[in-house]
Amino acid sequence: MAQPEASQKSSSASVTSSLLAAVAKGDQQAFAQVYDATSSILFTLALRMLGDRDEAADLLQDVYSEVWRKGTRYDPARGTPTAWLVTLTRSRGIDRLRSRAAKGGRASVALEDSPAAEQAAGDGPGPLDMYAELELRSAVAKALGELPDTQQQALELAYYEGLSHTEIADRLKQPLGTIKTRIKLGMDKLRTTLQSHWEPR
Amino acid sequence: MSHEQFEESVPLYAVGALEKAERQVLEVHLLSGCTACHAALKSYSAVAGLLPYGLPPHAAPAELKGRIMEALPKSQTRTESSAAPVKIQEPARSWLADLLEPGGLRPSWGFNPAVSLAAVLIATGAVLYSVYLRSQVTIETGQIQRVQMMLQEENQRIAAAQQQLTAQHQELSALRDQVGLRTGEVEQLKAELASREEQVDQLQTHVAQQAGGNSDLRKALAQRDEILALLRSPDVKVVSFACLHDAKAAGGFILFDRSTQKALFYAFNMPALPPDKTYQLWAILDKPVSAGVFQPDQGQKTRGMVRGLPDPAKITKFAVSVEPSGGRLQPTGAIYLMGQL
Ligand SMILES: [Zn+2]
Repeated sequence: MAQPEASQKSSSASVTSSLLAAVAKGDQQAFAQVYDATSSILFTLALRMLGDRDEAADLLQDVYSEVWRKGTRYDPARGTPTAWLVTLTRSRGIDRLRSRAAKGGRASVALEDSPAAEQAAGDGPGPLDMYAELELRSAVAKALGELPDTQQQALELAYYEGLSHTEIADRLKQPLGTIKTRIKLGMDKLRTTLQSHWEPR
Repeated sequence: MSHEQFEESVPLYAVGALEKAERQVLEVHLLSGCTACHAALKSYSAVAGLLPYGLPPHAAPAELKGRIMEALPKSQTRTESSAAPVKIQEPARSWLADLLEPGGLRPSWGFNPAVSLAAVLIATGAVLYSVYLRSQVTIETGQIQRVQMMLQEENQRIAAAQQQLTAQHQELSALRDQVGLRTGEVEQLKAELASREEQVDQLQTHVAQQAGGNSDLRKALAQRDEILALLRSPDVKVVSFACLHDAKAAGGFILFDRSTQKALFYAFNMPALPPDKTYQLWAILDKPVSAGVFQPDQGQKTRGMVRGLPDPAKITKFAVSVEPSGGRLQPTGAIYLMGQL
């Protein structure tokens, strides 16, 4: 599928605001383009949070149907469209984790690191977007790799598992102050190393 | 809590690691218009949004796209939702809506000097119950007088109310600008602003229709102004409440302004009490002083403006206890929430 608009952008901004505006107006083709450009990162996130492919797929279905119904909610002043979708997916994912916990299920399933072997051919994003995304992936992975393990762990427990600092401290049997410091230091470092990737251009 | 402390908590907020009460307190600070914290939030949220790119990638199942496309709601629902972008209906009301909603403040709120006078009488040996009754009567008389004064002043004030509406419009657009800077999880605040805007519009209509004025309107305006003024005050201190009953998710906060001796109290997840019991808020100096009694609403939330706090510089704690209906002059029941300065 030709994506002239999307391919002009670099890095994570593979979905433009105007594309999302078209979705908000009910343009199915624009919606399909948004899906192509974002389903991979959103599914990756959903799978990491929920640990189950079927449930991750259900979560994506919820998220995209919300995008379809409420695309008007997106506000460019608050970040890129992709960042908005990531945030939406994360918060709906946390809702699922909470209701799972409320039903007595165990909260988290840590996934084995597996290579990107499942990258399906065909419907994926265009080659330029893919390249930009690869570049971003490697930058983020490198930046995370430079953090001490303890900082990575604290960030992951908060971001992917929805734990508060108190809950993380309990889980890791560490003082609260230590956990807060780890999160803060980790975020500070990432903010510096990844500056060229998050700063608005 | 100082700006520095707030700014420290922004990275934790961005990854969702703050406790609920801390989150709300930070949101209040953000709403008060701190540009440094807004900027920090924007950058940390953007960084948090990049985290998933560090994961080993997984493509979505191939059949998912078709499934989602097929399930898209068709045009009727669409038109409806895109035709009315301003009328946002949130399933659950947020704490901010509770704070800003006009009306609903309970008449029993408000520190009354009569209560502390009565406390002295106890010390001199008067019978507790009769003094208690008297203090209640005093409170009520005082309230009636206040209401009467308000009614008298109303006609003069209606003009002032109109001016306030103009000022509120300006405030709204300033707030909207601030909120526009924000990212991610605070999306809901924007919806709140939209609904506030609607409220202002409604109020304006009221003003236009009722040239003679009406006391509900006047009260609603005054209450909201008071809350907004408090949120903006540079002297405001924030105290978070922790629940002393384990396994309960109750919490809350109190924002108090030393210069005006006013405080805004908000608590959530407060279980309903039997009819013969009430919650009572205490400001604790060298001894506890009642700041009012309250019942949570059906959403188990409560809010209220406390006026005339005793010597705010000497307050060390706030507490909420469960007391017999009507409240007591000193705490007698279990302390439910406690907040330390
Ligand atoms: Zn600040």
